[in-house]
Amino acid sequence: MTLVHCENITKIYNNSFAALDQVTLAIEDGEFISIMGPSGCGKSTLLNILGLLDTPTGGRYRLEGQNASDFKDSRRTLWRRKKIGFVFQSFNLLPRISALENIMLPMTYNGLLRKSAAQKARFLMKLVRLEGKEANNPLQLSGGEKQRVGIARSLANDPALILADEPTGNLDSKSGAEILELFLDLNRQGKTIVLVTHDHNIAAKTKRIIKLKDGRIVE
Amino acid sequence: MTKLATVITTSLLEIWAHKLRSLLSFLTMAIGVGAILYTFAITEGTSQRMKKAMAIAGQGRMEIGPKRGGDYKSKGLSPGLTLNDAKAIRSAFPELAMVSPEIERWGAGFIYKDFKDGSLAARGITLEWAKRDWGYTTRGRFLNQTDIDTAARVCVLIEPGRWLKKPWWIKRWASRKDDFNSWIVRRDLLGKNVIIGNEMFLVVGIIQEPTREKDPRWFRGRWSWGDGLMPITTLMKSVTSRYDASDSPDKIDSIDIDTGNEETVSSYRKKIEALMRLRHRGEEDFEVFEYRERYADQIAEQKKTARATLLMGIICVLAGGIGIMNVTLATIYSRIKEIGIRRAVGASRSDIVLQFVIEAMLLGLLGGIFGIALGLLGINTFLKDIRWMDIATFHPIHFMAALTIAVGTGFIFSIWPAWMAAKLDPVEALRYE
Repeated sequence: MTLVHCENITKIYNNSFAALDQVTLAIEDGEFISIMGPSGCGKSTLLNILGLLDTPTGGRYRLEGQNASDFKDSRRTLWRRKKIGFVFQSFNLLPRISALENIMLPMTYNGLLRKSAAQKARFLMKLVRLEGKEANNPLQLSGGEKQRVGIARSLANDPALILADEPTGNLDSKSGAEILELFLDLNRQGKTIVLVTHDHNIAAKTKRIIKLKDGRIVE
Repeated sequence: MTKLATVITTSLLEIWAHKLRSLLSFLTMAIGVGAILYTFAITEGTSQRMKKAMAIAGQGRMEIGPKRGGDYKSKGLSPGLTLNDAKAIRSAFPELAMVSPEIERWGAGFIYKDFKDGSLAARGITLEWAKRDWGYTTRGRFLNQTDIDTAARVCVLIEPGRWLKKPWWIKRWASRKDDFNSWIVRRDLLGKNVIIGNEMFLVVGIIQEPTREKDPRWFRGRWSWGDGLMPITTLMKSVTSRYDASDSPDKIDSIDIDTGNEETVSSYRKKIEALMRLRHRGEEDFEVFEYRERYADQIAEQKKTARATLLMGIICVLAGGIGIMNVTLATIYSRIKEIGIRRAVGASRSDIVLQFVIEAMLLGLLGGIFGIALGLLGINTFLKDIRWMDIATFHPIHFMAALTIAVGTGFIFSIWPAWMAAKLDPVEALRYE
């Protein structure tokens, strides 16, 4: 089943600079794709559009067969909450609440009861091998641990699509390898993952590599 | 519900993380709420007190006195306010509950053995005097008709009511420990001869006022440095006690009237005024005022003060609201990234609005609670000493209103900043450092 279907997606900033230029892309359910390319080639913009954080200025974006480029903000939020999981390079955890509560955040926005959200968050912490660190503040975690929390958070609402923007970019090679292992595991369990990276070694382990340059897919 | 609980927890964490900033933002609010509460309490207390005093004084009270203002010049036709006026009113309207003429001689002077006091007021009265709001306990006897008829040199002294618990300002104010009031409570002058205004009087009775706490008449502003009651006839004969020897010896200072019923005051007033004009040969040298009017005036006066305080309170609350708005904006600017993260993991615009509005409302609530504490503190500090007057009366509704105002202000002043926050582009917000 085609999960994502992009047709001639264009994103133009300030009526002049085209961050994305006629990008056409289809992603099947269960794929693991890496997007590569130099800085400023539009990788993050593409990811944001795929994640319904941003809207294209042109073209059509279909997610699960629905025309998501026409969605209003409220619907985009709802879909982002239920179908998308973001993993960021700089982790983007809320510093004032515990690791567990960070993971619970998307679930509370989804209306889950606090008790069941906590239960599920504990399960997810176990999944990313972070048992025992539930009460820790993100500031008390190492980079690799933070990214595990980030991944657990992205899984909170069982999304159809996980979007990771250079998830290993801020990590040492050992932690980076562990994180990649985690992604591979998730993919084996059937998760669709789109991963932006600079690292050829990482890209090599994914099933498909897409190269972007100046807003266009070159490979 | 989970969402709301989470939002509240987050807000409290955020407020706690910025203690000083939060405190400063709701301090103004607290002052405003305090002022509003103070106003509520006093307005309520005053009106209750007035009603009580009104009830005790008698429903149909009015007083006839000489024309006030001092610039009235008699054309020589009227004899002025006299004892005969009182008698005429009494015989024309025998159904009236009270027609009590009175002569007041302030500062008549009092001597007993080696005690001297220059501030005692000598009051010449008839037996009708006792028909007013009587709350006294008597030792000896009150004046009787024979005393009046014979202009006897007898007097009844008023012993001031005691305090169950004396307020400190009374102690400080009444610095004269040797004044008549504090002197007489420690003496029993019953049956003794005393000198009032250079003449000897026999003390036939002592009447004691009720305890101050239980005497709502107090608020009428009746403050005396000591009172001696004597037959009006005696005082009229006593030339030495009059200011102006050229005055008619018949002249009296006031006639206190009680119709016994609030509804009849106006109609009796008209009849009595007509009678008085007739007796004064057309001269309008007297003035009638109803107690109701005096209460109304006082209530109006109180309300004016209350309005000013309330206005100040409202201004403070508005200033507090602006403070909260300012803090909400500051919070938003320092948490743009957080807004981006929350949006990315699925927070809707209304979630963001809710987050900041709830936070502001909590600030308002804190301000409100603080304000109530401040208001109570203010009432305790400024009014503790006159608590016997029940001046501040609390109603649960006052607290609720004060809190509602505080929380509502937090709500109103945070809507716009919160909406601004919600409208942020999530991509931009995420990129913000």
